[in-house]
Amino acid sequence: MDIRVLDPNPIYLDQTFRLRFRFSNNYPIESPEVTFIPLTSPPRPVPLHPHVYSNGYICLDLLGASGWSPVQNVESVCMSIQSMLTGNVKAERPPGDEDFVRRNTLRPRDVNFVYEDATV
Amino acid sequence: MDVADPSDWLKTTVPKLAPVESALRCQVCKDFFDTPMITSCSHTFCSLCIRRCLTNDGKCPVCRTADQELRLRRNWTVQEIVDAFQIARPSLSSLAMLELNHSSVEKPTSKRKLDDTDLEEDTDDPIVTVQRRKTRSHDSRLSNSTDQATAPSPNEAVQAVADENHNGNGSAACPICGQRMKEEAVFLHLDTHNEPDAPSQHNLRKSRRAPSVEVVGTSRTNVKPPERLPQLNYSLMKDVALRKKLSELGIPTTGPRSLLVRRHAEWINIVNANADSSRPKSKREMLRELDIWDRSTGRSIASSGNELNNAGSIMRKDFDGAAWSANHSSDFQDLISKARNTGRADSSPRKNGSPANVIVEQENHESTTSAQLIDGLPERPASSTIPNSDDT
Ligand SMILES: [Zn+2]
Ligand SMILES: [Zn+2]
Ligand SMILES: [Zn+2]
Repeated sequence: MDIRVLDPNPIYLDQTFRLRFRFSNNYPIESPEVTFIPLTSPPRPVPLHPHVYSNGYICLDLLGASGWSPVQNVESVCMSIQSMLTGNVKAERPPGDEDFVRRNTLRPRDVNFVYEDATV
Repeated sequence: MDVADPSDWLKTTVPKLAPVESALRCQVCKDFFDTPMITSCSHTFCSLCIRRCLTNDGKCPVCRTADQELRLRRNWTVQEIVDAFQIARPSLSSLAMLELNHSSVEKPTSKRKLDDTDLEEDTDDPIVTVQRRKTRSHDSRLSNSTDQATAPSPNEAVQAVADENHNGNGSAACPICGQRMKEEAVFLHLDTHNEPDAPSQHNLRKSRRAPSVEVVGTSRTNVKPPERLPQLNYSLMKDVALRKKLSELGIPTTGPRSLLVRRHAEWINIVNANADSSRPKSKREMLRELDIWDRSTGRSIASSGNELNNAGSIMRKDFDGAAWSANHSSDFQDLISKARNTGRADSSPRKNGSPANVIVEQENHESTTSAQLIDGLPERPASSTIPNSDDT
């Protein structure tokens, strides 16, 4: 699914992003796995954001086991990601991005968990 | 069968029925409430849905208040409303479509106002009659404690009023058979389609929920109290004891410990939700449900290391190879139900006015969805986890 920031946030002006949703058999009890997918054609970059790693992993409470609720759905996830982008003022990656992307072998959910524990 | 969606109403002359229908659906499974239970925080969900949620994290899915299964209470009234609404839905929706046809032919300007008044009168009729029919059969099924619920009033008066409202001029086509006739005739004519329909749908629905009252759970007591199962403190149980427990319950004992635990918890939820139900299923049907669970969720638990017990990768490989390829064909059903779920889940944002800022590009959307379904199915090899690599 593609999303675009329509607010005049200069960081994301005229860009469109591709989100991938993966649903486990236990959805909606379990959160879906949601990541940005980089594509070259059509151009779908991974948005610059301090909570979005360059491999598309998103650090968002809602998507982690603790922040997820079974009444959430694709729409509410999109809205959260949307507002995360809209409100952003820093065109940068999370600290340690390169390192993380090189070393990580975990699924997004597990990563989020660790990351949240360490920083929030 | 139930691909119906609240947003269907948005295309009719009574879009205001969309929120009505939404309110009759469980926010977890998005389906009409099945055995609705109310939590201590006064939110209502299907019995099985809320039990699964509480098993998972002990919180109400809507407000995140902590709750316990023991405190759940049945919400009979909601069940009755849902049943009645589902029976009335076909007639309601053909009426609403009929109105749409009319107003597009004639009087498009006065449409709005007329609909609103129509809504009151029109809906009265089918709901009342249907509900009465329903209540009766409900009674015979259970006990006859609710005899006075069969209220009188076949509502000739209402019918007449409704007819008057349709008293436009010119002719209209029946939305079902297409036959053209005088406008007021259509309204009555519609009944000839609906009357045989409603009861049969009704029966269908019932039979899906298993009419057999004799074999309730394991207890052979003729009518009611289906057995409820207590929860176990798994941490205190050795593997052997756990397996023994499962076998006593008559459910499969295969798989790693983590799977045994989750399977047992699921079984308790199925059995206890069934005990809540006014239309309890046979043990055989419950076992079939558990089997479906085992092939979908159960399989992913077995293959991915898990929260309750990091049984690790050795187990994972063993299990994968055997179970996964052996039962591959049976995944078809999971796939279908999954498609329905996800379809529902992500079609709703599109239909109900998606958030102002999110643009959904549909073709992409469709293709991504099917891709997800496939790679989202039970499990992927543990190694292919980085999205960049497995996606482009
Ligand atoms: Zn439900
Ligand atoms: Zn609540
Ligand atoms: Zn009472």
